[in-house]
Amino acid sequence: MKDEQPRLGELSDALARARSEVARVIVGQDEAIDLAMVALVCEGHVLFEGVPGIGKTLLARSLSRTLSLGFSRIQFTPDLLPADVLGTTIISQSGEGLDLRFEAGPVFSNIVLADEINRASPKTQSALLEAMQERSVTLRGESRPLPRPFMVLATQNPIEMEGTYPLPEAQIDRFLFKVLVGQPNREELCEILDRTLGQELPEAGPVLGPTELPALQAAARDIVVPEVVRDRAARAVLATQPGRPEAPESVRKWVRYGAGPRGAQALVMAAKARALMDGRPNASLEDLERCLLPALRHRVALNYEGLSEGLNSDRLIEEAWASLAGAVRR
Amino acid sequence: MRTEARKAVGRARRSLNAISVLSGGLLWLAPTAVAAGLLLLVLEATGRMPPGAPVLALWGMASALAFCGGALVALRRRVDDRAAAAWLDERLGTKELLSAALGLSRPGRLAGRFDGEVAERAEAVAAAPAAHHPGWPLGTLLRRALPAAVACIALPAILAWADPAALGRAFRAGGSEGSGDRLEIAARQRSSARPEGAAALASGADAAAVARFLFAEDPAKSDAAEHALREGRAEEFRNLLERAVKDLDSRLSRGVNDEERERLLEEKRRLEEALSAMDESTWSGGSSSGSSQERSYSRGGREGAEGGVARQAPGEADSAADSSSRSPPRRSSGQGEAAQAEGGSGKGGSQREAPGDGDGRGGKGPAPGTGPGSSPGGDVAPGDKDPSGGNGSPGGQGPGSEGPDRGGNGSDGGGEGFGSGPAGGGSRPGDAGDAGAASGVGQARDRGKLSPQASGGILTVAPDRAASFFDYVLKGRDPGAALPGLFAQAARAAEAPIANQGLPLEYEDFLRSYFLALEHQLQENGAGQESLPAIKGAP
Repeated sequence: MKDEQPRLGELSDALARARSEVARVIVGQDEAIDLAMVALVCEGHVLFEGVPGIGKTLLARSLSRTLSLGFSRIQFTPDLLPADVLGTTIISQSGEGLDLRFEAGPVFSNIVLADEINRASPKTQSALLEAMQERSVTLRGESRPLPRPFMVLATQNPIEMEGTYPLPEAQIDRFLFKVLVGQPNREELCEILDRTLGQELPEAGPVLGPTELPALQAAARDIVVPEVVRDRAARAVLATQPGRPEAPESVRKWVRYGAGPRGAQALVMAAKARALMDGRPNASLEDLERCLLPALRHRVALNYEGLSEGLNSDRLIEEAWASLAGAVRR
Repeated sequence: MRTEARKAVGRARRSLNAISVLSGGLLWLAPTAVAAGLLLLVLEATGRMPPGAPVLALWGMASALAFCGGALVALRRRVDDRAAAAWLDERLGTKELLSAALGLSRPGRLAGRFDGEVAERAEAVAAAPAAHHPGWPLGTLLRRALPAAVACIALPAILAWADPAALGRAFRAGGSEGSGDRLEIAARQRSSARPEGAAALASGADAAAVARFLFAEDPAKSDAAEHALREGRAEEFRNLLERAVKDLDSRLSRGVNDEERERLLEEKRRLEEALSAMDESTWSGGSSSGSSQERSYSRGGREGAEGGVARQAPGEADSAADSSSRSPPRRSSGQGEAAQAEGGSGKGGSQREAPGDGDGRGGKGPAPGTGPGSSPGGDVAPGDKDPSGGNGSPGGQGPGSEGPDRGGNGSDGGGEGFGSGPAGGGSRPGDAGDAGAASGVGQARDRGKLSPQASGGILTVAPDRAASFFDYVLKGRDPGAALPGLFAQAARAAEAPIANQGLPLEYEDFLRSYFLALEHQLQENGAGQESLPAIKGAP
């Protein structure tokens, strides 16, 4: 059976092609595209944070097109209800009379874009909790599985925070990555102008078939993780916890709580996916380091002192990682 | 994990461990070799090392033990295959491929889809030449080896070739200068014109300095001598000197090499000079009059200085003994017991009074408060205006005060005492009560005798070897030279450490008082005031 499975080179080539197709539409944002691909391979969810108009929605749409996956978009607003997301049971007229019928919500799709997720009420936000973790939805006592692969790409705007509901820790922990999407630079902006103001808008075409993504996801889980990589990931996660001896002084001083087991899982899984994308059979410390910030930044919460100092979790995670690297070298 | 990759990892582990052990040993060796070498050097230099001790062997043993200790610690922290594989991965840039390959054989691990690919790739990496020569971290080893090598070469050379005696002297000199005891140095400078041994005794240097000087090569004897000096046991001190001379004779008779002989002869010469100096009473403060030829340093001297009640000589009006002094209670070499401790209120002081003021009040002398209190006052002939007759030394009415001149003068009461004021009262007949009442604690210094032989406006000083008061000024100079000029030089020299605040307060007071007294005497003897520099702070 194993001989029938695609070889490592073929898998990485497929991923490279998909990535190129997305990059043909999205100008710049290489890191965001890479991380979205990694999350897709890991079957993880991604929270994009960035100002409006920088291609977050286009990225999600292009991904779904490239991978031949279903796509739905939910614009989160304060009056959005859970039923608007999950679906509802309606009375319908059938030939034999009235009947109760479940009308699936937009969450029943492969790639769900939850736009400005922090504008919905906590009740609506939490409607996604089960969907994201269990990949199923329970309504009226009946559990309905979501289509596979299932991926939530959520966005939130770092400005205009009035009237928003910050995501609770339980929900934010369910995102594999939190990706900061920055503004394009001058060259990228010029390229965007050239591409979007002509007669034809570029659109991503399908590169992978519906069966290929699950194969990629399975292959990623088979990537070998050396002990040194696994240990470093565990130590990195522990180093973000202020009560741990591995934590550097800055973490002890400014962090309220650090990453947990989901963080370690995300880190190692992302390293595996990175290795797969690079066509390597094993994960490396470099893979780990490249995924460190997106995988942990939303799992490390600063205390009041840290917030008042104007710090962000990225800096503290980097310090924790550097302290581990120093300890290893010593 | 296949053969080549495992071999490569094993090779890396062994090499890393060897480097780590060597490096650890050298890391411990370098500081230990330096510290042990310096310690042995100091022990050798100070004479605390037993004769014939195998210094180099001791040093080598300490260094070897340190190396072994460091190596042992490094051995306990030796790297395993996993760490070696990680190091090799980092070195070769293989992105943890060898580590992954090593992990494939981990017990309990389930076989994965890419295991074969990992092993295959690892094998290829291990077979490459780069895996055989990954660039061992020899830089670390060299960095650690360099100071160790320097220590290993330099210290035996120093230990083997350095002259312990010279080192010892250098060590002591450095130590004493470092301690700031500048008086000791000054004392040596002052006494440079004399034979060393005698100069050491007469210099007024403290007991420790004298003892160290005389027994430079023998700390035990030096300590004993210091104690004897401090406690006034002159006989014991003399015995120490005599025994030391005998010892030296014995060692010289046993036959030694030329260098050693020269050193021993030098030491013997010092000791003999010290003995002769004691015999000449230049230091013991033998009183000039009366029956007190006691040469011993006596506790009684100090006791007399502290406890006595000033007994006024006949004719003294009232000898104010209320002066005080901050003179340090140093070696009391006065006559002590002979002085009967009657006088001396124990308050020697820097007091001065115009001599011959008639009322006999407090001849304020710059009583230094220490020293042998030979009082030439008893020798003063009636009618002499003897500035040094400032007895005023309630610090012990020595026999000198009861001497034959006493009745005639009626003022030279202070036969000997402590802190006798040099500018005490004149002793002219009829100057009743010129008694210098400067009473003192501690060293009663012989102020010497200034014989006014002024002629043609030039003041000369009688060459009185028994007088040490002017030693500082006259040392090594023609006794017939003009005193004011000499005084000016000496005062300037003395002022330097005062200005630099390099002297303890008590010495500062002493120096000021001393020069004030000299100045006073010079004025009294007609020297030009303009030629006398003032000591800062002097009234």
